[in-house]
Amino acid sequence: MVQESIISSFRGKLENDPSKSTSLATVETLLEVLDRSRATTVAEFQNELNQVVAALEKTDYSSTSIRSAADLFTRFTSLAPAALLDQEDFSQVLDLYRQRARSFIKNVRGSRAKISKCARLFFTHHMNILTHSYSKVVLETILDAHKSGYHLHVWVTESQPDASGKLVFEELKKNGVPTTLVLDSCVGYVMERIQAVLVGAEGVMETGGIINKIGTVNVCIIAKSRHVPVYVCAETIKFVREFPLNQADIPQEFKYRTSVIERNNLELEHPDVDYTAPEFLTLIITDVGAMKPEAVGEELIKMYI
Amino acid sequence: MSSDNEIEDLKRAFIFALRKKFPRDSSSSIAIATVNLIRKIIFRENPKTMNDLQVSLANHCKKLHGAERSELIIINIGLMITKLARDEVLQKKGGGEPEPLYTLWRDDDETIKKLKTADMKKIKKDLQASIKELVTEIESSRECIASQSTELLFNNDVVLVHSLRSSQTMHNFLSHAVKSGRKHRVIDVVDEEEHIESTPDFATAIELYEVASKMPEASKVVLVAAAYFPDGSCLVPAGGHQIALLAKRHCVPVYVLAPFYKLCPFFMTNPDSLHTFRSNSLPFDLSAKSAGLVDCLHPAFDCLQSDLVTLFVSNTSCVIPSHVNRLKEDYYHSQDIADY
Repeated sequence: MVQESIISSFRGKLENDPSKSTSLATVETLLEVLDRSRATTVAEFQNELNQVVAALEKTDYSSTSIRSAADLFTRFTSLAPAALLDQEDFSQVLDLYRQRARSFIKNVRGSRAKISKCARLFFTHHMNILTHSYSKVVLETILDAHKSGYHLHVWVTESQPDASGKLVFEELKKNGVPTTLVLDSCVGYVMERIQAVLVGAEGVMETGGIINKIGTVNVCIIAKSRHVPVYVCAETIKFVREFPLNQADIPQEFKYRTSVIERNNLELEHPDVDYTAPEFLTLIITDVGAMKPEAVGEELIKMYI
Repeated sequence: MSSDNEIEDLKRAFIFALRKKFPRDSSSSIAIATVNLIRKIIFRENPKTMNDLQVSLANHCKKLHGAERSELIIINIGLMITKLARDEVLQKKGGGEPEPLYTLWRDDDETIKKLKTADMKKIKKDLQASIKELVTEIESSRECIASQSTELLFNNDVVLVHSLRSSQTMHNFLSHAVKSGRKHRVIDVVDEEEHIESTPDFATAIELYEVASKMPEASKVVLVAAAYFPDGSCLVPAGGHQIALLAKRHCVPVYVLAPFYKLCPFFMTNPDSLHTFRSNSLPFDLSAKSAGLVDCLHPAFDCLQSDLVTLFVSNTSCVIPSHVNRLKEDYYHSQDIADY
């Protein structure tokens, strides 16, 4: 089965390179499918992609990232001049798709550096920053600022139940950034000395809110009550066309891993992510610039026009 | 290089002209002076490619802004002209196909190639014409804002205003309403006692400490913006923050007059970084006694958060704070902002 080799290739990408994001791996996998494709019509090609995306979502990696990356990739590659679609020879269309896909991947690869540069404006010297969970974008942003000479003290929550905050803590300590590991329940205690909260996002919703590691909404509510700005660092490839109004509106496949859903006893499980409403967020810093949460809907309209 | 010397002289003259004026010249005059200066720089330098023009403009505007930290208009005008030039180039090369709305989908290599190979001689005439249009728009923005006063002020309104003496736009705004036959009262908040005498006929003057008692009878508050930002926050002359907080307390709408050239594409996280304070107003004898012992803080601007502002009155339309981000895309290009 072709799909099994694609899934193993997808897993291989993520295991070989820990710094690669799920979104980027998804897009690269879809490019492989595109390279192999022998479709002769647009509909056939779309169907092929949809099957691959459904297979990718069955892995235990983040369904949110896979869906947003796949939607964007499909949308992007399928934009073609009308005259070209009338050609008898479909291979020309496929060649155009492949070229578009490669330029898309190049842009996605540069996203983290752009976010880091854009976020620099919001840092000051001797700033206390609180971060929650493990995010490659946030980590790169802080390390870049540290290398540039900003003296930042980073407070990292433990981020139970998988203690991913300890990974961030070790990484920062290794690079010489002053850092403190705090309990998840300690956020209220330390918030009065924090100047900014910096979090990543597993998905950015059309409402302008974010889906992120469980506990994020606690941190943001405490920050809001203390008038501490909350900055979200997220690539635009993480924008998702979902409009949740509360926690129950989050799709199940976002909240739980696929293997957990298959066991079918969700009453015994706690979710992996929670939804933070846009009123608790100050700015969302993306690779196309910083924006208010209200502007996310406009960006999504542009993407899917 | 004589051309470089001429440009340096032009820039020095510009900075001296800014600093010589006391009180500060009106914002539209500064904007027009900036446009003219940039036009002369472009003419003198005669850049070969679009990329050279962009790099040159960015450098010059950075230096000018470094000399006058509080004049954000210099950055605004520079970035606007860069976008005009970019649009001219892409229009000619692209054959009229609009640039993709979404930057992830944009082929940056192709765009950079277009910008580097564009012939400046063909572009220059069109660029000059676009700059002339920009000047015309700046000159007419005050009248356009004034003409919107009939949409915002109604009979029996009590309007509380700030900076009436120092802002021509505010003066025109209220004068136009009076001429149009609006029967409303104007309460003018003045900063110093001597200014009460020079209040125009249609306004009643009060001092800042009286705002709290007058706010319950006010139905509108009108302020002027020194700059406003994509997140909907803005800088207003000092005292505006207090007025806006009181207005929010009493559920009074706050309108901010904000022409397009005051829209700054960057975010303001720390107003203190502008290092702008007004002159010390301590009496002379107190100054003599207290020299070195007393710090007298007299900031020129307050920073209003977006939730305190009801509406921005621009020269083209009225914009709610959450839509200022969309307005930014009309005047500035995201690539220029990122490169700056």
